[in-house]
Amino acid sequence: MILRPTREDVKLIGRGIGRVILGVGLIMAIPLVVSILSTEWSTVLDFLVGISACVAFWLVMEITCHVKRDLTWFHGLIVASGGWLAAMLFGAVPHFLSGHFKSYLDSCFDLMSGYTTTGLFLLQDLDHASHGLNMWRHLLTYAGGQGIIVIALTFLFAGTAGALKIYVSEGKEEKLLPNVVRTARAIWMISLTYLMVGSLFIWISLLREGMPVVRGLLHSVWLFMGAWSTGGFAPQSLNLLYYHSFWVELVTLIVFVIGSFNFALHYAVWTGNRREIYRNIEVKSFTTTILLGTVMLSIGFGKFGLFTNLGEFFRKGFYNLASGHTTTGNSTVYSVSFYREFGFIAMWAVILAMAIGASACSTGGGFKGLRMGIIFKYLRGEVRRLASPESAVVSEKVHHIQDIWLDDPLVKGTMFIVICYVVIYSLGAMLGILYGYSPSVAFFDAVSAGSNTGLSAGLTSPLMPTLLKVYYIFEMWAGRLEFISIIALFSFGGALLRGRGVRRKR
Amino acid sequence: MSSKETDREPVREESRWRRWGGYALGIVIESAAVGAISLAALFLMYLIKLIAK
Repeated sequence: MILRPTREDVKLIGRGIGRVILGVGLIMAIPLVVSILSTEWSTVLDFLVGISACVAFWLVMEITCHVKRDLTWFHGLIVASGGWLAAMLFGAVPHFLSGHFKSYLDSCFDLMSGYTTTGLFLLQDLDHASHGLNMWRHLLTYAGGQGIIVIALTFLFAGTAGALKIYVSEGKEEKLLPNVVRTARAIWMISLTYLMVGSLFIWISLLREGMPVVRGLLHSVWLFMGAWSTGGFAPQSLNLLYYHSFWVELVTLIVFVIGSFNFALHYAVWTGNRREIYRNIEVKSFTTTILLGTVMLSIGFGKFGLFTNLGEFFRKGFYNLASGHTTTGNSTVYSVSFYREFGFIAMWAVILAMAIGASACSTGGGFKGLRMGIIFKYLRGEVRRLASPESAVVSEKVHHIQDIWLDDPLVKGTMFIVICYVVIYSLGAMLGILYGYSPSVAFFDAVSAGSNTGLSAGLTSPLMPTLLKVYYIFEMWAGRLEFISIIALFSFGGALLRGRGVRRKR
Repeated sequence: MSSKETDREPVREESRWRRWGGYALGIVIESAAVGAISLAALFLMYLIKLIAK
């Protein structure tokens, strides 16, 4: 029986979402400052309108949704999923006012793509976008990588018992430290440290290529944010191809692969547990699948006589494969090259890599290495069980920070999430095929959206059908939050409409 | 409450330099891991090229 939510439930959720939107408004202050420093007055106005809308919404929610109760697990799930949707609607205000978008839907598409660290974009004339807008695009992908909820936890939910509920609801199940707010702060400490180190190396590489100092600094910060968050945004429409620089490609490759690692792994390695880097199931899983992908890619390229020397293979082949596998979306080839040049085998190597994706509790999407490891070990256990005497007890474990013994609920939960991913990938591909796109292209872009990658084979553009835009927004959102909180939001909506009221004792 | 009263060893704070040194070493180790994976991929590509010839 589904119980109809009470007025108090709705108020609790409204207050939580209001605080998330306040967080979005606070982040807008950074691009506002960049716009002021760059004397881009029209962009300043766009951000002032955006900030005002966020603050006004928060104030209305605080006043109308004042309750003393704390969040339950269910409320946490709704705040996470609903918060992301509301953050998309409010965050899109400066985007739409910039005049770079065909419609508000296109602005929302870019916002969801940014927050979910996907990297697909419908922004037009990117090469002439203002500094403020570029800072906002990259900042929201950087912030989205850590998790919008993590931001809210860091600053706005400190000390509340409900904090853990919305943290977990955002698809991050691991606690680096016993306290969830301290965990959120540790995630920020790691990200900000890498921001300084990574941006410095990219800046040096850009200066080496002859880019002016200030422009180089801005581009280095933006490229870092895009790579680290596995978002894949870049300030130029040609993405990494624009720079034609081996060193920029090398540094961004290192940044996005490290960015795709689990935050718990970073924390373990940084705080003394160095052996974790080669013992961790996700690193093993990533190494195995990317090497298998490399074999597929090499065979595919060999068949068509493409990128024959090792340097070309590394920069045009391995770079894009790793970008897809880590669900980043930075690219060193034109979009259409995946379809017209890579050939069937190499293109599917990238599609499979995108589908598998990065690590759990990282900035990336896809099935996740941990789940691949669990499924592989489970299947291996089943084979061993068949080969062993009936009385033998066969058990399997995976190592992720600590040893985790595989049991049925864990494997069932893992399989459920993987199946959900397969379903959203397939539905997106079928929709693309129905609109007349080639199956490979339709699969490529649908998997890219669902796994939050951002590589495109040419389907994603402002001219794509509206229904596909809406479906890709859904795919990005569902893929990032890993379905549970989305299902909870739909159940909540259903309960509001059809649920049975509960008589409360007075 | 003092450590004597609780009969416990006082927690020794790690020095800031030592802590940040650990973080820097962590960054180096993670970068080296990425380098090793990339080199392994390049080696595989080279092997496949050799076999295909």
